[in-house]
Amino acid sequence: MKTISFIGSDKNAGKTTAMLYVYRMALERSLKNKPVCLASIGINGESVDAYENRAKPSITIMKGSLFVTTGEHVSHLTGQYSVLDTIAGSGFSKSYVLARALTDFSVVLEGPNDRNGVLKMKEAIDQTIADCTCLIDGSIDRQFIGHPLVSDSICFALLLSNRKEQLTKAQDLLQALTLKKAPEQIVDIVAKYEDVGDKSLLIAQNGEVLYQSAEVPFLDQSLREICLIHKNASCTLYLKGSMTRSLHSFFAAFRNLTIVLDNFTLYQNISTRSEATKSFLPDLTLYHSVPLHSLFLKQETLDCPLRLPVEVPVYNLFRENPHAIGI
Amino acid sequence: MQLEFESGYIPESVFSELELQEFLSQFEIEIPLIPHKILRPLGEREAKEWFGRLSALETQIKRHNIDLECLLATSNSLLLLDELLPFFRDQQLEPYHVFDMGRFLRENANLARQEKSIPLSVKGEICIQISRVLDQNVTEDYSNIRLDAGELELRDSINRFEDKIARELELFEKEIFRQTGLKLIYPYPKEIAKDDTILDRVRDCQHLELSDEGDFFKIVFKLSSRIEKLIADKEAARNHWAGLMEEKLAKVNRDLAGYYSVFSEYYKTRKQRIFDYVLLAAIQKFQLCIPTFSTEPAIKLREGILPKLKGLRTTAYKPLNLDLGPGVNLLFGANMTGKTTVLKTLYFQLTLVKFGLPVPAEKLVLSHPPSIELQLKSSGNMGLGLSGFADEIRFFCKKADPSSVFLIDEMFHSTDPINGVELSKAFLTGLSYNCIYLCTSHYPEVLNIPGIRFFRMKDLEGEINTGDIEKLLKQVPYEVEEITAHEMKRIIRANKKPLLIALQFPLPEKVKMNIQKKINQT
Repeated sequence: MKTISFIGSDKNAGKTTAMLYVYRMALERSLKNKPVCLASIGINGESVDAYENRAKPSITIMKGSLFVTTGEHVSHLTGQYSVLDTIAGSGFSKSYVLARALTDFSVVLEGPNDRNGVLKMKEAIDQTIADCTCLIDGSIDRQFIGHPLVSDSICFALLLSNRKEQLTKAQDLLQALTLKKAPEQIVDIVAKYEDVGDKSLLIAQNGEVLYQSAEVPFLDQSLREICLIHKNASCTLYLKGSMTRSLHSFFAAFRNLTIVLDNFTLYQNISTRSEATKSFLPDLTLYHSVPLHSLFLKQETLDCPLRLPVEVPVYNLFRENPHAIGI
Repeated sequence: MQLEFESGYIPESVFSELELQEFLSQFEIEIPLIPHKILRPLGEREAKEWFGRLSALETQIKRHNIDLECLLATSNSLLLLDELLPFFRDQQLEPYHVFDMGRFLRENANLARQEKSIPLSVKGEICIQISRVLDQNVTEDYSNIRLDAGELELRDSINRFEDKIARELELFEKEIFRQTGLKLIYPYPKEIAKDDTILDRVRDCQHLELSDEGDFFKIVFKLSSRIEKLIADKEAARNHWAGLMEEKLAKVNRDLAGYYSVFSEYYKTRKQRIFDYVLLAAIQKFQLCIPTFSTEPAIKLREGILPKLKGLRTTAYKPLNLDLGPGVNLLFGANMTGKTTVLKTLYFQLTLVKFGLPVPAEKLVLSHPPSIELQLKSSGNMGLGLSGFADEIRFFCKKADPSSVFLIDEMFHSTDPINGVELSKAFLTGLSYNCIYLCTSHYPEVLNIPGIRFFRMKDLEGEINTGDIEKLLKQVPYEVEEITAHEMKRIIRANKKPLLIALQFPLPEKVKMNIQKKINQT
């Protein structure tokens, strides 16, 4: 099973539209021999935005496709789907229905909201239909979306507005998504500590672990103290907690430090001040690196002031532009 | 399956010290049907029924040589229907509920076949009857409502509409592309700059409209009347279909309605039976025993274990053997001989019985205790504003239903010895003979009270001069024996053990000399 997760830079960045586009492409390419399953982290696909009271794109499941949602969302669809499995049990606040659409219909998708729940949902899909493409309407504020067990690749819907702060944030997110993977020897060391629950590890050049802690990194004063002691040595710092504004500022001058973030979602909260980003000296890499499948732009302005990665397909479903591919 | 005791019964400090939660973890295996269970204290009738049922089932399983592991493996396939039952009761079952119910009945039938010689007390016909209803109304794999030829044709016609609309839309999109060069996908609108060179072509295209959005135009679709009619026809067919399906689902609910009460009773019994299997599997695995009940107030414990202590002492651990009758049982013993451990072990064992669990012992026969109270040496209760003394007095104010068990460590140690003796005498002669009291004491004066059974912790034998506390602890017998008042008085008079034991500790030399002097004098 291949899983593509969809995340957006902002609210109404076009995430669901991007998912529906990829869904349609997937159907055209592989309807007969490779079914598609649509799922969601939390709830997605309501017809109206609850906050802004405006219409949102509905999710139409095509005949033959699989989907996961809660029972309440299929109560009007009797006879139009066949149940393949129900996903429930300890750790689930709700039970979910895995079903195959027998006609085309619109439905609200709702899935588990935590990593274990999503993995359990994926397991149920995989056990039912092994060779399928699973499209997950995700959320960037769920850190587990960047874990390779959850996503094989990521589609990123990027809102480009005329607000400077929003654009800087979008650029930061793009940077985070395209960070390179940490060197193998560091990955091997971190892997040994993965199940211990540590949120930070400071590793010397010879592989010795100088510091480990389960405390949230930005609150961990001891972490800062030990990093200062080893400031001039070549060290690697693994972080499994948000790279906050204060951490970003603290580490900005650590020229010999390589920071390994657990996954790209941890980079989202850093300062958007461009000067801070420019003067950030440590190398930034990722422990869990999930390939960027494609970028979907939603432009409120005509300019595209961002540095877009050249090797990733860029789509603009709302507007023709030089980056538009395949539309 | 997560197990926990109902809160409020076991004092938190005792719960944690005796590691009761760790004991519960022995029963925690993966059973979807019982993800979580709160154990509640059982009344006398309930407890007798509970353990009687468990004991009878254990006998049957042994007699018929039934493999408990196999039963549990099949039980593991049963789905939890707790969420579904209210929908069943209210005739609001949805197809996915029916799917779960069908799968439950199928797996339950497998389990029932394995249980042929130990059938449930509620008859399983109800499952067969519901299965028949499902067979009539839903597909063989329970995945959908069973449709007749006309209904299948109607659904196919909706799909044909969908296909036709998709084809028409494809042509529609191609025509837009031919006229404007824009590759649009229905129904997604597209934004376009106000000075875009293709603007005129968009304006000229009969399938598109421009909507002014301020800085830009939004291109929206203008469907042909043919496509609009197809969509309207499809919607009409879909509405007809929805009405039919609503009626079909209502029929399934109507057909099942009469079975709800009996099925919910069956389901409850099924869950209880699977929990019984869990308990019996733990009994086999961890050598636990099912307690039996006597009619008179009594406790007869053989080889009772306090798992935490056994884990700490490993080879040196001695299980507890104790026979207690109604009224007051007084336990004497030198320091460090295990008097408090006896109380804790007994409390641990009785608490498990109270909550319907088998116990880590070879045998336990007892009168069902309405309540079990434990009073350890107290330094008071700040929360209630009570001193150690007041806390102890308050303990004796607790309601004493017949057969209740009171375990009291070092009676009235919290006041001066003169008054402590007087209070001990007053309480020991005035306590109810319907209950069981086990008290520890150091006061020899209470040995004159008639009607009390005396016990003592067996003492260290031989010379106490190891100088090694760990070694000394390993020599302690940790055994209880019944003794006469006369013999106990003699032992107390001759007892120099506390002085000898004290000498094994690294005390200041002056103190040691004083103690040694006292030993020599006596």
